Amino acid sequence: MKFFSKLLVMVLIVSFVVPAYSQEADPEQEQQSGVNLKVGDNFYFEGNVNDNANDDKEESMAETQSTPFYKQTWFIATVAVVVIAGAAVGIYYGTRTSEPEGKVIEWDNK
Amino acid sequence: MKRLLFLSLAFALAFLFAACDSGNTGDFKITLKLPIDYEGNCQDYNEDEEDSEGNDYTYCINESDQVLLSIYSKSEIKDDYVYADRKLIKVASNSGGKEEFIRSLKKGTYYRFFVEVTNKNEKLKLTGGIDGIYYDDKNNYDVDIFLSAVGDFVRVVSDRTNADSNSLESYFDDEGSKGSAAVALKDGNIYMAGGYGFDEDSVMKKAVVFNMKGISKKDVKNLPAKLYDHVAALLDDGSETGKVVVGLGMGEEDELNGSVWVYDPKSDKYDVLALGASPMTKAKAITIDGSVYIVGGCTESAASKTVYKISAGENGAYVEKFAELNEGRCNHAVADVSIVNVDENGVKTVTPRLMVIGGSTNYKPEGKETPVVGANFVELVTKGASKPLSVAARNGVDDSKLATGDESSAATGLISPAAVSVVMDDREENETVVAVLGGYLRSGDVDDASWVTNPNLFVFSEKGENALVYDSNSTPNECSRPSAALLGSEDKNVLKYVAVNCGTKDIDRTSRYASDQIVFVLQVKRVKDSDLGMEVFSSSVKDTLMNENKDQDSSAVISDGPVAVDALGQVFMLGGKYVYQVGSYAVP
Repeated sequence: MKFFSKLLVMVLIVSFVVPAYSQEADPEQEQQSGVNLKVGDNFYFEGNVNDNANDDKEESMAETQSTPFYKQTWFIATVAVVVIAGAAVGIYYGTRTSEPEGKVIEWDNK
Repeated sequence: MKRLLFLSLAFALAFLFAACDSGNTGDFKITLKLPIDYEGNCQDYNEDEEDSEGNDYTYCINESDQVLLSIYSKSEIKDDYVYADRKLIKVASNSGGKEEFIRSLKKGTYYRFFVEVTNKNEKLKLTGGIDGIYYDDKNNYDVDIFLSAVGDFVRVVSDRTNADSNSLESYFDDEGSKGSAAVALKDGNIYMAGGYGFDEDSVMKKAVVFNMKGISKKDVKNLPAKLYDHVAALLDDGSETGKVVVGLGMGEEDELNGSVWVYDPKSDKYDVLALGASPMTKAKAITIDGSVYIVGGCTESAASKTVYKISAGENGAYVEKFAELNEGRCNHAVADVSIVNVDENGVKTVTPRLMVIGGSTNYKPEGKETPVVGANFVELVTKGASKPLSVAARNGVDDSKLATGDESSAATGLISPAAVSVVMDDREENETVVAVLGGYLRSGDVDDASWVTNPNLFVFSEKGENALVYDSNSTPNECSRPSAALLGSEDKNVLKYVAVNCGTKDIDRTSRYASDQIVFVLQVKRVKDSDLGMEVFSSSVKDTLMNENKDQDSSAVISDGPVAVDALGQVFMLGGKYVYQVGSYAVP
């Protein structure tokens, strides 16, 4: 029962984290999110950008679309290292022989 | 790539959780707890000095000793334990030891463990056991077994290196108590309730359960009323602990109580039992074949003749009248002399028989009550009947004048003795005798009487259908209101043992400083009487390691206290500040 509750928590955590990334990786959704950006090879400005308030808006949107930190390689790598290290430590302590193990009888003559 | 990374992480986490959850349950650790090493011998063990130098290593587990762990099991709580396995461990180190005792225990099984420690001469010196452990491999178990000196008493301690703060203590203090009651539950724990505490100068409502698996005390629900001189006995309702029938007795102002309750240790609750008895005190209760029998008791003006039987039914405990005594009494003793038959299929049938001995027909003035004497001094109670048994010494005369007086003095009677049934199984045919000890006697004529503490130890044995004979021996330890119980001993052994919580010799119970708590063990056996040219029974006080049968490191005193005997034949002595244990010789 304890194991299943832990497993359930783990599945919930994984199901929360993994879809967030899988959604970002969906090309269809990527295309949809690009509709509002208007920034790319097929987009160019005419005239002085400073003269046009709408162009300011487009530029601002482009800035906010820069890669978030949690998609950065450095962040993912750090999280991965921390989690794997944590898992390794957990596995070590979780599987380490605890005292007493088995069916033992002991006494101290002190 | 990212999917792969997260899948790996998920797998690592799943493995972590799985690893954390497996492999470290189902462990079972038994820790042997040793008695206080009063002389400090254990650390200075010298094999060559044993015996020759007078050093006693009874309280130690030393190199060259052997530890034998016997394992018993049963699948259902209602079954009897059967022997399962044993492990003999040769002690290799003087400081301690650790061994695997079995490869596996079966889950969903009840276990009993019994430990025997023998020295290099194969003399049994320490024993201890624990009962009613339900094993489930989803848990880890850490069980203490306190080892007591065999046939001797020691104070129960969880850590002897600091005994003052690690002794198992009751709710009484140094000045002790009178009139408390105790019962060993089916799981080996001890229930104790009520009594008059001399430190508190008050009748107590308190109740505790001593957990013998962890050597600890737990306060449980108080009695519904302050009580002393009440009754308490185990009612086997088929549960793991059983229940406790407790009640009658007296309150704070010595008012009599007529209520009886059934205490359930599991729910920590008292249910009222409709006994239908008048308020009364100094009745006796005994458990026979799982049912509780309440015998006698004194009201303000009379003594009860009724023997109630309380049994466990599907809808709870119920009461029936089992029999009527010929003469009502309180302050008496009751021994279980039931007839037990086992058929070829192993089915046991018990025919209840109660031997009711002595007592008084009133309960005050305390210490000067009117003793029951004459033909009804001893009655044998069976279902629906009670018959008097004549008593006499081997020569056919009541030499001790227990029941029959003569021209020089009236019959003495015997008030507040203890009586324990002992089955002598050393011959082809078993013989049940009753060891009777302690109590006080009326001395001199009725009109000019004084009361003295009984100086003799008696063994009553049946002679024909309607008579008893008694053998008597003098005792070095006189006890005015003792409690006693049979100690577990080996089958077919010629020696049987009775553990006695003596209390004080003083008949006066008002003293706050009655006496040091005295505990001793009686040895009951057959001996050849050269004068009579025949075999008789002998009862004598066994030697003890405790100086003068007292706890050397305690100034605690007691007026009188109860005993509780568990299914392993271990006897616990209560009523004082500490709990004492007498080690059994074998599982009964």
